[in-house]
Amino acid sequence: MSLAEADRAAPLLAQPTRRLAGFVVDVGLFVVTLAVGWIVWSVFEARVSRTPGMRITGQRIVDVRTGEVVDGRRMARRQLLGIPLALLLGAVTCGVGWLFSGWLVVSPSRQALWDRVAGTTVVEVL
Amino acid sequence: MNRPPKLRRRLSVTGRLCRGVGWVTLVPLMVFAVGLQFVGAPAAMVGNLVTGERADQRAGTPSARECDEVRSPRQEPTSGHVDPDGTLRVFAIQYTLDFSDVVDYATWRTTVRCLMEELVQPYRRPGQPTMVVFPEDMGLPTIAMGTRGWSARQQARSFARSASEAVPLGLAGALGQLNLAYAPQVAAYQARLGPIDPRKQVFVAATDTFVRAVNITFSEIARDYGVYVVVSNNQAAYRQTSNPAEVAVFADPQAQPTDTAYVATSQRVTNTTFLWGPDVVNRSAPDGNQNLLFANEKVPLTPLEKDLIGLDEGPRSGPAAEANAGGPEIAGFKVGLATSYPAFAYGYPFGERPAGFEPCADTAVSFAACQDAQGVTVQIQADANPGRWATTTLDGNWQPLEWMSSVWRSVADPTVGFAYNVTPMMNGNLLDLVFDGQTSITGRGFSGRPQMFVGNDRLGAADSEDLAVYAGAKQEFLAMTPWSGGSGNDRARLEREATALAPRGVREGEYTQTAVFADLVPKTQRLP
Repeated sequence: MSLAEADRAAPLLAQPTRRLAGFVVDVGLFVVTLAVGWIVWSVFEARVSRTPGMRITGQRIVDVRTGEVVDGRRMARRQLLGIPLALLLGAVTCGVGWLFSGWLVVSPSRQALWDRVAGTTVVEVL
Repeated sequence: MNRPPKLRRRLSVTGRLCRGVGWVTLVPLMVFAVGLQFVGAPAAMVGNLVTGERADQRAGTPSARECDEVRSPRQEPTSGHVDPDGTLRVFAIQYTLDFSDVVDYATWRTTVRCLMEELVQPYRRPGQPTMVVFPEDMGLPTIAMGTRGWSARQQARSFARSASEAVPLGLAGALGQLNLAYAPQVAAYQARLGPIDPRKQVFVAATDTFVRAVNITFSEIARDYGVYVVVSNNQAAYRQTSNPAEVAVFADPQAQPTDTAYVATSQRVTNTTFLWGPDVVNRSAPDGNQNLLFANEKVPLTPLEKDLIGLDEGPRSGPAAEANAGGPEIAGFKVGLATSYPAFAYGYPFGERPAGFEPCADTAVSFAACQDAQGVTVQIQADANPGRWATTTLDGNWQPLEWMSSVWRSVADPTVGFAYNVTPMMNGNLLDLVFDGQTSITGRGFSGRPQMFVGNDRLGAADSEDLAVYAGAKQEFLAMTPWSGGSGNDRARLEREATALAPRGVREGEYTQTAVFADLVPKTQRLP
């Protein structure tokens, strides 16, 4: 498959601006619910391959190669390994690593650092 | 079988531009930040070799110019209560926490000696013994000392310094950085002492730094100035070594070159409050402990200390607990150390001691009552309130009113006999964490000008009825610092001022650094 064909065959990958909106909503919910509410909600949303922020902003996590929703194990790898890895990277670089991890979304596959760890990307749900 | 290609969609021109800009800015910045952490230690060592500066050299008296450079921008002169019959003058230092004080050992020692030079020395009375009490957690910022704390100190000055007080991501990030910076020592202690609770491992790993920055620094101050000094820190017990292998592993890179290291002897980390005297009492003790008169291990611990950083509690019962609640005789007073939370722990409401009450049965419940049972007359309450001062606590009470149940209760409750309470409060923002409060000294039976903490003129609608006795101005205050956010009793306005002082507030970090003192008189010792 050529790159042009891959482009045409791809589902609607979420734009960086929408990804940012979902992230902001997730952080907001995390803070407002003192983490507990967000975590409980996330457990329910993880079963349908998304976070609370993605539900609100109309996005879903999928396998970067097949485009299919991912199972709980992949979600766990993304959320519990990928995101802490980004936090650690940010921690040792005075915050630059946090920007870098998110900025990776600006790529053809729209994968942030945590997506690359889990082999996922995010699509828009129409 | 071929793997399917990644889902992809070409970036727009703007997207490609953003991507390019990111590569040429973020990546070099990240490499630079990481690189500094690895080259920092050798650079500091080479720098120390070139300048001849040694971390273990004794500090001298700082000059006025040196003090100008490290002084808090909002430092106010010391105020106090003079009594010609006093036999001991006690100073309570309201230190304003600032990571720029811990760039290296020289900066830190200059900072604390300037506190002595400017807030204590001009107010001492010749020939009268002097005790200087620093706030709880005085040693905490020193964990970010030197090259290993460089990134944490930079974070404290950057946009990443705080997220929120409820979800302290800034603090979590700094702890992550410090764990990485101290990784060689963490690994060495894990191998030596067995698995260590990851919440407290960095405190064990920082033992050498703490000994140099806390024990040695303040024990030297006690000896050089001829005073008694009280300081608290979260750290492990230690020994001194000159074994080259141990020096290479455990000595702070910022202290290199050195032929000495201070090594933790157990993985037990307690909130310890030290009391040093002006004279050597034990020549065989390691550096920093030779003039140590007493050390108290905090019990009970706050939920933050127990659950977030995994500290170990002091002894709760038996002879060890009773000894922990006692203290040495100084200038005719028996001095006991109750580090914040323990000073609130009586085990019964104000004035209502139950019949047959055993004060030392469990000091996690009744530390203050046990301290009274040990005959303590001066209760030293080194304090660091981890939160805003003018606010409502989780129990729904006005915080300054609740604080009266330690600083004022100790000298007003008829069921105990403390003569004095000395409470220096830490002030300042540490990443997301706020430390705020008013420093005070109270005396039993003292009839001075009635004073109160901000907002304490009444029992509010949400305040517990148990606090009614603490409302209103009290005559037992010998000295009190004004609050950094202003004065008065309009609680809504005071809360807004507290918000302004907190991280990202309009007056962020503008806390007052100052001190109060009082002459303690033996005649006001224990009631019959």
